[in-house]
Amino acid sequence: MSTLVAMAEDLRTYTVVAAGLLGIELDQDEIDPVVAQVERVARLVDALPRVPDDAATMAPRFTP
Amino acid sequence: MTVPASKGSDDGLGGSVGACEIAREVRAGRLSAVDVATAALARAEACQPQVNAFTTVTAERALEAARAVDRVVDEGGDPGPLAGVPFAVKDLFDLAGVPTRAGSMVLAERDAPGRDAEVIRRLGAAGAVVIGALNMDEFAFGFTTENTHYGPVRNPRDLRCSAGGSSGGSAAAVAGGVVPFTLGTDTNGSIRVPSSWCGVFGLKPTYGSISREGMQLFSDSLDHVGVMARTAEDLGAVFGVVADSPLTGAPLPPRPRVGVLGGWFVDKAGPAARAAVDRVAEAMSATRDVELPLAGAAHAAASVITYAEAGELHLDRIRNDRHRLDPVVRHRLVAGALLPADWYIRAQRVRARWVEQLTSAFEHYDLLLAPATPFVAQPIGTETVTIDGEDLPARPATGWLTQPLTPTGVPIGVAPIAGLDGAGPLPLGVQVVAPAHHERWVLDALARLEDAGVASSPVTEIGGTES
Repeated sequence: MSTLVAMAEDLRTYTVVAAGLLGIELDQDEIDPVVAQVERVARLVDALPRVPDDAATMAPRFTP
Repeated sequence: MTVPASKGSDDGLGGSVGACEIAREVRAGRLSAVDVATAALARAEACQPQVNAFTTVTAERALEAARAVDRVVDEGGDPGPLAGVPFAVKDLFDLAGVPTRAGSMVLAERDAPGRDAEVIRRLGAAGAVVIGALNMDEFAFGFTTENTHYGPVRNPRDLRCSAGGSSGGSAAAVAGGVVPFTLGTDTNGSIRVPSSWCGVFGLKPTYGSISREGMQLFSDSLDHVGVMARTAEDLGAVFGVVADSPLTGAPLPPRPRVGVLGGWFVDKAGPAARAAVDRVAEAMSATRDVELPLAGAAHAAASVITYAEAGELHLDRIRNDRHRLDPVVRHRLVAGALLPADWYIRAQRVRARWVEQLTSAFEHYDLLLAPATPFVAQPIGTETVTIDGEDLPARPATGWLTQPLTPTGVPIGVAPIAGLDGAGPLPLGVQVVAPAHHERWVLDALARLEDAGVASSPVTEIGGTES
């Protein structure tokens, strides 16, 4: 598992804290299903190769 | 000419007659638009208890619009290229005076919009007659239209099965012969999956080629507006009306260079999907196995982008009103809002490389082929599908073959193929992929497959035979 999630104590802690930062107060019965979804996406992220950062993915490109 | 009111009937201009044919008859004064609309409304009503394709039927509005078309014809005016053609739209396009639900109870309680979405205004100006809004997955977040609030859409080819999603109502209304065309949207396959499962022609055009004004978004950088119909000719006629630019450019070459996508697109396809592609590949003399190494990563990127953009879009809603959402959709949206920026940016960078990879393939090929779904329509409620001895999670696996292609934004048509070994009455679609802004090539290819008898979309008499 990558980056921020690996830095968190665990995925559950990350989920609750990140939700709180966004003003989402998760109910107790919501936490596990949301964690499962974050975990699912994390597995997808692991399938993403690191490609060179050309700083242009979403930046404007102007032709002189 | 009489217009039968029974569903799927074909003794006149009934449910199996195409949009272009209806328009020709209405424009020539041989058929009344009011009669056509009346018959379509009767079919919608007859079909609804079994298929559940509609969330709203706008009968009064439809008859008023049809009367206006007939008046223009009577007065010798031009009623438009789609004169009197009935159609319906996924319930995420604004219809004046009707709440736009997007498959959700939350949105149903908002004030109704004061005017139509841009695409509906364009179709109305062309003489087409909207008869209602169509069922879908909540906020378009799904592949099966098993909507908790409005019920599942059942597949007219086999009522035990899902119609696919998220534009499930749009595909079912066409396959069931209620209307000759519908509008849908496609973010990860939401036109292509239900087209495949219901056996209709579908067109997801180039990203940005059809206005999204007056439409509920799902994932901004992936959302496409598109069309479903029973013929390639009808797809082209509707696209010509709703697109920002008309169909232009040279037609598909007589002997196009056609490749079959390999790797991911073969590994994730079941026997029926491979057989469907084989049939199209043979008809188009296609070269086998065009390998694009980033396809699997593109699938992951599309998923990550969807989660993140949908979570951001619905952030206020999930802060304040999420408990009235379908629990599965709610949990996905909350998770999407929490994703680290690093993940989203990584996905967008992979997407940029993937676009380059696919674009470079078009230096060698005019068209590329791939199955639209790994398997045929599954019974409603199916959790697991076994393909080649492997158990797959049914709902996410349904989009495995459409999702990688969406982030490229290129036009993709779906050719419905029936009569596949072991599939019974259920069809399966093949994606025909072209370079950006080459919708004409896609439509030409679909028409050739239709002419050759390879692809077809007969109307299903609900629970009965085809016509």
